[in-house]
Amino acid sequence: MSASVAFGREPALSSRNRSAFRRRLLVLAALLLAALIPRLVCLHFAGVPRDTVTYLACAETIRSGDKEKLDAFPAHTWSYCRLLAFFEPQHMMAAGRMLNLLCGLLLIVVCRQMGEEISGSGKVAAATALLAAGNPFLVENSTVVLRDTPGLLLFAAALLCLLRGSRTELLRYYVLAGIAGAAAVAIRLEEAELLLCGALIAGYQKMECGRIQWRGWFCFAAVLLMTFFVILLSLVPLSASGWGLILDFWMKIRFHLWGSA
Amino acid sequence: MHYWDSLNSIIRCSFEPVFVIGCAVFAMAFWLPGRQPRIRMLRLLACLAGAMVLWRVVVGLASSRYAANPALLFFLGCAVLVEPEWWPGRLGRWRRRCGILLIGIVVLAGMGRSMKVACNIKDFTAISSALERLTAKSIRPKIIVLNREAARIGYFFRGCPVFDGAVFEKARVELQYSDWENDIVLFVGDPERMKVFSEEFPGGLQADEVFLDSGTGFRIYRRINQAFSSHRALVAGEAAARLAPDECGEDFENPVPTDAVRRPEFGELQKRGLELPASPFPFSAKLIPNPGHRFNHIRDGVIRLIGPESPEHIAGRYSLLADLKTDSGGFNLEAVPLTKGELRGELLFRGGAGARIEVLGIEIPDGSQPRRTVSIARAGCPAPGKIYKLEWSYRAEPERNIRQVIPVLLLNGRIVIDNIRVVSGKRQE
Repeated sequence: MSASVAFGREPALSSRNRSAFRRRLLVLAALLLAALIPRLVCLHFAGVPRDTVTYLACAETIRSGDKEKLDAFPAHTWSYCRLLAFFEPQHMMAAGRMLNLLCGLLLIVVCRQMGEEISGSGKVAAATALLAAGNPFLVENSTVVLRDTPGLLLFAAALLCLLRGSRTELLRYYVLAGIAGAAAVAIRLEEAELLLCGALIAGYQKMECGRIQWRGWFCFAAVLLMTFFVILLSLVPLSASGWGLILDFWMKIRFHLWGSA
Repeated sequence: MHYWDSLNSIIRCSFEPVFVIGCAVFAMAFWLPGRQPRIRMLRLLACLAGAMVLWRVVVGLASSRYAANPALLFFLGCAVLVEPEWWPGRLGRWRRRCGILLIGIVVLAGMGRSMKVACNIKDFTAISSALERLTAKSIRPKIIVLNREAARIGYFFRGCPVFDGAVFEKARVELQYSDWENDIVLFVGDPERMKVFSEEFPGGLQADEVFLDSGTGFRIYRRINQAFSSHRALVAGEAAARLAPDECGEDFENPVPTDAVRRPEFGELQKRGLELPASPFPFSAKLIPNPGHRFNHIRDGVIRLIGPESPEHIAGRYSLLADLKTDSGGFNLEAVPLTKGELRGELLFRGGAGARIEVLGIEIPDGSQPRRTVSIARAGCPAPGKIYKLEWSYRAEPERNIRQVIPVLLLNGRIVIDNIRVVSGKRQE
């Protein structure tokens, strides 16, 4: 029995419910518009969290090409700072805020899709999007220069792809989940919880469908690892010590696993 | 402010229990029987959120920011919670109400968070602008941030070396290898941290005074080495800072002697595209120490202030006479009497402690009226680092008086005058 039959629902974008799709799109657009209000309020008064200082300084250092100085910054922040480093120093703050604002809005869309994926109900999806739009974490974090919102967006996107992949058993969702998950982990190491989520979803798949799509999960793991190391290796030339970057990541993982570096 | 602080504290504190209770609900949901697909998916969410919370607790990162992933699942679960399947029997009538209440709480909490951010930025802006005004883009003090919250202040002082005092060892090494004797150091942080830092620092490290108290969090301390012996001239002022370093002597480590500095010709600065403030004071000032007095560290800096370059300003249609009003009587200024028709005058500020500030090169046009014009806004002894305001009023035209306030900062032999163009200075011979 397929997962979609087990969930007792139809694909969301069939021709029969095109009008319903348009209605949902309208609701989503209204929600995004509503979500902009607290975010713009927050953006107007946005402060500078303490980690932002590190990120901006790190981005400036990447831009200046000072490898020795860059090694003083924690390597697990480099991937996000690399994004900021595309901009001029005086524009980094604004660019970071815009990036997070965009990610915050996209996260609402992803949350809406997750709600629909989980429940199959448009109302639940709208409620999910509304909750994501008003979530204090997301409102605040989507207006300041922090890694959390881009990381969370990629985490949620990977989770959505895994949920959809486990339902439809299509390989491309696993591949997409691997890419998004790797980018999420590279931006923010805490997003490695995706592996935990993957294990639970796999267990759920086994419980519901009686089998695990090993091919899909293998693809997910392989793409995730490969993409992650590609990102990591692209950062290595920035460092003076080269593979010290890898060591820094390992220390960070150790910190999360055992609580001390 | 206190009202909003209280509200924000409530929001901040209450959100975590909401999160934890929500996860507990999902944990209970995990044990609920049912074979419907949505119930099963809810169990999955419960599993995910619960596992993440456990993960966070195990690694000791259960703060609100680190709990973003479980919170995301929590809110997803909240959305599923309003589904009818979750409300069997008579409980079904509460479904819609609870859903609306839940969503309302979340949205209101989001708005509260926005207000909290708005409260924070006031603090940041006030301190940042105060420091910006203090440095006037000319002095490059060393900034030691005593906690990470204060680091956000330090970042915005481009060009100022910022040391993370929270990482004590790093700051200590940096200071030991730096030119500590000749540096002005600002400590930014809370009092407790300042105390710890000064106790830990080898040889003791005391702040002279609280320079700025934001009233909402942390303070700015100032430490100036009393043994400062380098009599280097300083330049200050926004326009001077925008001049080429070889002309304005912006490089304090290698100041350019006054004689080597060419005074800009009329209109030259405008040709360079500089916006000059309308300042009518073409004068230079000289600090003269009083030997043997304890305030001898205020001495022999020389600054020259280039006046405005309009013809009427060069003509100097104003009179100038000084007097100092002081509450404590610790720092009295005397003015050299200026007479009508004198083309060049001197203005002597004589401190009660013996230190004098001479302001030279004032042109007194014919027909002007001498006035008692100079006052100091902040009374007290001329201790370094205090900001004084020299309030000048002059009569540009017979029928109108113009008043201008010049913040003057006495910093350990250095004079910093803000809002006026100081082009060069030299060591007094």
